[in-house]
Amino acid sequence: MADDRARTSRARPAAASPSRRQLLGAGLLAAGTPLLGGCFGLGETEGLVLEQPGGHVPAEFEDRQRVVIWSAYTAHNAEVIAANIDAFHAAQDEIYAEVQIFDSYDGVESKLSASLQARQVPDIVVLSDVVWNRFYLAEALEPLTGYFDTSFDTDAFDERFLDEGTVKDDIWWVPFGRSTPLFYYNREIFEAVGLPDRAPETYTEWSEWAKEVDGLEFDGNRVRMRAYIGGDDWYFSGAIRAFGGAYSDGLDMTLTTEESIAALEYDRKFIHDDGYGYLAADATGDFTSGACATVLQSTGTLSGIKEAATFDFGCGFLPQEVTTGVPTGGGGLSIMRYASAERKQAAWEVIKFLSSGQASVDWTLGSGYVPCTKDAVESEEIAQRSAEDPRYQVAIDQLAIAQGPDIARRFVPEMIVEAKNAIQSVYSAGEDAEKVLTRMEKELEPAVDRVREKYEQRVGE
Amino acid sequence: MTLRAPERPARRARRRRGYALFALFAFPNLALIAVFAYWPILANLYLSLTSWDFISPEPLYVGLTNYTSMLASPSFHKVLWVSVVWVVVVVGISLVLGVLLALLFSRKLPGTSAVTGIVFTPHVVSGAAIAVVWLFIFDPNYGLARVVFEAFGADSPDWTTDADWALPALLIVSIWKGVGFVSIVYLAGIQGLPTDVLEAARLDGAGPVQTFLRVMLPLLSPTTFFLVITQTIGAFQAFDIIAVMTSGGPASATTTLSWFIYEQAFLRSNVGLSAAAGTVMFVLLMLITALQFRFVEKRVHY
Repeated sequence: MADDRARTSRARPAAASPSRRQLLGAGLLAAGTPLLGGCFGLGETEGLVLEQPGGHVPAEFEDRQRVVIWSAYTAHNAEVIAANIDAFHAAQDEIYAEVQIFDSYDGVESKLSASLQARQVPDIVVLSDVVWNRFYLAEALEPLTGYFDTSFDTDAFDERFLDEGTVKDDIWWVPFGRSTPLFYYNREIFEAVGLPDRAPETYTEWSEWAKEVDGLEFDGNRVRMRAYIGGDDWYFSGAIRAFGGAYSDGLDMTLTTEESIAALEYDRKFIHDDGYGYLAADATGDFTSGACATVLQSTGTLSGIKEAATFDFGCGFLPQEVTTGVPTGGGGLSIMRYASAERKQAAWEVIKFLSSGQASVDWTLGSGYVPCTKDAVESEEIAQRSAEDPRYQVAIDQLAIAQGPDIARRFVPEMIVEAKNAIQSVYSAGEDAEKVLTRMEKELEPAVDRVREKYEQRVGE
Repeated sequence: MTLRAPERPARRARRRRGYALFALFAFPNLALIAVFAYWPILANLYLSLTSWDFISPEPLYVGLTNYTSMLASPSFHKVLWVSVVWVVVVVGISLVLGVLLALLFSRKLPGTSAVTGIVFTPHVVSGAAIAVVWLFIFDPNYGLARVVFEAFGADSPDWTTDADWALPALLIVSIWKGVGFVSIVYLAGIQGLPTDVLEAARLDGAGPVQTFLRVMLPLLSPTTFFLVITQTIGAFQAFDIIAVMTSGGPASATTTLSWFIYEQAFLRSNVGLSAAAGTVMFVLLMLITALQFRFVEKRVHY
């Protein structure tokens, strides 16, 4: 009882006015906030130079200017780059380029974000066609226009690809491993059901052809027409255009227009009403094992599919519907603004080497990406490969109708995650397309608002 | 009333040396805890009050906006629901299976040591490696699951790409990975039980089931208490299996709080919201642990 009284008498004043302890806590929080605030972000960036990340320089190159490259290319592509870098080291004696490899474009992006906080930056970064825009908005990239000269002019690159990396007349991102999706089809399945040896011209035709394939057994599998990829909205970003829609017009979302909804509704019907397609865990693996008759995949996967497939397959342009819808993708190179002037100049020399001459040809041949430099486009070796295997030429020809990403996909970081969620909701759970796209548009509103001011300032309408 | 004699200089010096020695030993640990535990908590709390994309020159203070928008969002409610299902199922089934396996192992049947080792192995193998193996097993076209289902004349579900099956698939993997640890801890608990009590139960005519339910389980309650706390915290932090197998999908079907925190920060560049979710997770874990100490510990028989 006495104990209860004591507890009550202690509690009452605390409820009426803050206790000494609460005041002390609030004071500490108030004092700590500016202190904590100073711990994040780069603060004033005018003239800021950040350190290079650590690494290892072989004794023979110790006297050279070190350039650190953060690359998203792994496995065979990493070997091709390593061979080109070795050639670069042999071709000159002033610069040592060290390639540090990450598992993906996302891996480079995460690490670069973290490294800016650790006040370190590499000199060259491989950034995807979408991600570089975010670093551009944050003013973390070096404008490259001033580095071009008569020995290496802007016409060294494919004009269309170079335009993608150009904002307000300055070049920020040069093309390197660029690609588009291709339509891959299993020729043996097409022949077995009497379909012509070509890609369907429209999405509607694709759907009609799917009826023929439905129920076929191939290599012990019940074949379905299309394996959908849910971990990447790239293919849908092309389809939505083919149906006359788009993710956005500038930063104004256009996901709920009739045309945009029709694109996703097509997929819903294809998978859930007709049963012609399915969301695959490994679409490429399913195609090469004969579990599906067709798949949309990157041009960069062509060599891998050639190696894995035990049947004859063909490649064609992506289907159209009311118009064409071919997105470009892949990665390019940027130089970080916060590297020192010497490091940036040396980095440019590395980019020049990788983007010209035999290095550029070897990279295109070895990686399977489409040629995006003048030397690669004009190369006899690449022309010869296209003559020997016309499927490589399909990718090059399709570039004529390819387009870069919509503005919202480029500049709103949440767009791709939301788009993946949306297509998975339809592909996997069979949700209504209109409902999903309406929800997506609503979820993205705050994200669009967050970048709008910076976008208008750095890009403008 | 007793009067204390003034402390002699020699004793004072000894006390001071004692404090100095204490500080010397304690400081490195305290510094580590301060830098790697308290500082991140404070920094996270601060970031949760800001809007920031990781790379802009500085975070923008937005007050409680992240908390209000997050707590009002239906998609965050779904994340919380998935997290609760994840924790309850993983902890619940791991404990039940773990104690049953421990009972089996305690009988010292032939080959028990080998089987114990096999059951424990997934616990020490990296979650990412296990996830890759299970991706093969679950593949509906050429995975082991297809063979098993075909033996019963059924089609294998699309385990990781069907919104209804993805969460059960990950739960199976997570339980499979963790049950070995639970069973080993329970086995140690069973081996430490007083044999005279078990003997007395047997003499009093209690059958094996009764002995297990009425005698062993209550005596194992400290072990259960320890496991409930550690497994709950571990389940809330589950990340590797989700990251490799589904990346939180399809359609957020496997997005738990830990994946949500990662996704917001590193895939959506929304550091403020990620930090707010981190704070929610911290508070939830503190609450759950406090509740467990407050109510469950009373039922523990030490």
